[in-house]
Amino acid sequence: MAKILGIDLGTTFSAMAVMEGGEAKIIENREGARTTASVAALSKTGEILVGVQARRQQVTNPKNTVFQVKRLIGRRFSDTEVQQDRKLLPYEIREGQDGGIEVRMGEKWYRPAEISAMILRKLKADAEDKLGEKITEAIITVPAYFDDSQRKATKVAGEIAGLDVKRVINEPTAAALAYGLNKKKDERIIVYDFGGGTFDISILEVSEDTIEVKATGGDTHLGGEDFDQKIVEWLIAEFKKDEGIDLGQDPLALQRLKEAAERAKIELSTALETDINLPFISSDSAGPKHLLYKLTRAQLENMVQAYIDKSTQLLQSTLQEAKLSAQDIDEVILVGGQTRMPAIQEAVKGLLGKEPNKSINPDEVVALGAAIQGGILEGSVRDVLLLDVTPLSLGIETLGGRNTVLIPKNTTIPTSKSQIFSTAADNQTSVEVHVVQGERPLAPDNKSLGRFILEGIPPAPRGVPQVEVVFDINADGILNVTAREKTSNKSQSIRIEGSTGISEEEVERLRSEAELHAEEDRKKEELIEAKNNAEALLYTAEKSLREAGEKVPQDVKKEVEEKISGLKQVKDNGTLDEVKKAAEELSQTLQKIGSAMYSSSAGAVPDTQNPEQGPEEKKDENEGSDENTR
Amino acid sequence: MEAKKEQTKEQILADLEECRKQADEYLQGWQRERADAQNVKKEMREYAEALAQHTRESLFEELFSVLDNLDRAESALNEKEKQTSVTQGFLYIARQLRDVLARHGVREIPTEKCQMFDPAIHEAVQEVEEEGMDPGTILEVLEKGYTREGKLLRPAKVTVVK
Repeated sequence: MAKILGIDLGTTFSAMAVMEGGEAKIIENREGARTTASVAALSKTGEILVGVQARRQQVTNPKNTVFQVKRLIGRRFSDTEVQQDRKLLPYEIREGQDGGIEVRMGEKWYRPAEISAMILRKLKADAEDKLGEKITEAIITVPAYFDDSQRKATKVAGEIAGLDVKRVINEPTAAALAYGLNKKKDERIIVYDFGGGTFDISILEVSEDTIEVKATGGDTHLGGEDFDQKIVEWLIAEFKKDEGIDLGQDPLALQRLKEAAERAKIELSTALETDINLPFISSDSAGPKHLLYKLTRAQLENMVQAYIDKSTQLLQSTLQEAKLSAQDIDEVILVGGQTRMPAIQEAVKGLLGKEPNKSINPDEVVALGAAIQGGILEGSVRDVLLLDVTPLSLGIETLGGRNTVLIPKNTTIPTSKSQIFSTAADNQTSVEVHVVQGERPLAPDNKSLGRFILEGIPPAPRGVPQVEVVFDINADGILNVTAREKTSNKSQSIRIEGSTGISEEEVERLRSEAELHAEEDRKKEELIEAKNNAEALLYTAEKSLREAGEKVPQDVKKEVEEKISGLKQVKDNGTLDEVKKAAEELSQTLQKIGSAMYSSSAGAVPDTQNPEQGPEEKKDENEGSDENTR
Repeated sequence: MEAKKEQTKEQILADLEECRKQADEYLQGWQRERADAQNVKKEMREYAEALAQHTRESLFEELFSVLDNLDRAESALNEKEKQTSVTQGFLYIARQLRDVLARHGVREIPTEKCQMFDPAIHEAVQEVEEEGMDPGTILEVLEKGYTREGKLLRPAKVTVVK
């Protein structure tokens, strides 16, 4: 089935996504970027350039490079917004015959929709390239405040680009879809969208089947770029004060400042301070000049406080307009890269008293939501197929009381996993399978779900029998555990109901307990592992001595025996270090048997390198490595 | 009685039809999911490779600004300064860094004065008048561009003749 492309056609950047395997996924453009600059140009060589290439030649070709055309699409020339934007945009804009707008690129005049179509055409072609299939259908997003004419023009742009535009949806609605909030009935959602060049607020109301826009607000000329500019201005002023040179006059220096400012801003979202380090930024008669300033998060917040305050004022006035107060809002969604700034998140949280949704990349959330809308139309997102996950890990108890997990938590069900285990002692004829649920590494600390005994294992040395344990959970959460011995084909099983139907409080309790005891559990686990290894090593050592018999020189034999008894002494009650040390000593001494036998004959060498995996039910199929599997 | 039986039969047939439709729908959904799962596996492998690639590339990209500064430092040296052995040492370190990148397949984009500006590999930072040179050609390379395995990692930043 052909995919529907979800497109976030932005003022400065655009992004696209499709549904894949039931999930929305961003598609990179041909240049390998996840967003595409919304810029089109007619190059001096007469080529149409779109995206980053158009941007790269912008300074040499400002009259024929059209950007931010979204500010013009579907508008009338006489609109006050258009008259204002005209002063800021370097390309030529005139009134069309029907009162619409035309922009100039080279000798030709284009309608804004035709420019948008160039961007959409690139997105379509790049998506086809990446996905290896034809794209003919799309969902395009627009700001909630777009009127009919702007929406229609956006649709036309898609059609010119060869796309059947299935829907034109609101950007905030797409963001809500990406967070799955369309399923929350009767909720009010605020979408706070702080992009590169625009700031939009939307209040949505989710009801049966629809998401309605109750109010919109914001500032179409406020964005992250203003924040960068503040940093650049600060750097210029500081440098002028310290060195007496105005970097604002030097285009290359200015560009380096802009890049460094943006990088510093991004870094200060996670770090508390950052260095802005630009060596050889300028020079005078005395020689090269370097720029190195420290910028702290607090300093940055101070610089841009006015913008943050403005955004919260706008948020308040939008609420007032909708006749709502902060308490009426159920969910807050952050969109746009600038919302990564902690001070903005704090401001929004402070005003609305709610933790905002911000887990999805704010630069991509709108395109992802558009793809989900496409998925709903395609029918690939069906609620029937809501799959459950295992809330806690499921495993069995193995040697030394360890919890060997077969199905980790958060595994989507239905699912089935199997693992091979073995015996812990020679001629062991039965094993006990104890099924446990939880995150603690020691089985007794977890919830016991059931146990059974598999009997009739043919007598064999330890580690030889192969017992396959299969965990199978069906869609209803019923767990079937089967143990089967491979040579005799004897099997035994248990059915456990409600392994997933565990209350949220209990899941929470078990999880937090696991976290609480993590350190102490890790130590216990290490000790058990060391003991298990010691156990296996003793077994190998005794076996080697037995098998080698008289070939081992007396002095070596005596030494090995001493080390064996040394390890036996500390094995059960010793500390981790004692057990490890004694085992290490034995292992060293054991190698002497090997070399002694090598020197006497090149005959059979006992396997001293790989002590068999521990007793009880425990052995991985592929090898007898001295590492326990888990 | 007869009519009732008829209706039941119709009912059963309708139910059967409904069941068949459902069975078909479920089968198709299941097949689709199985196929999706296998495809996801394949994609995951590609994704892991792409991710490793991406991680390398973003490290290279950060190193480019270090290289830029080394280039700037080098061109700020006068002849006398260049001859000192400490400077020579620093220049060798710069060369070492370039060698490391070259070993990882990073190539400098050969960019020269008088070459035509090409937005596919160049980024114009400024445009200036220059007598005796053709408009649209490169006057000066401000920062070198780099590619790796045919992919552009960073365009060369240039001054273009007006």
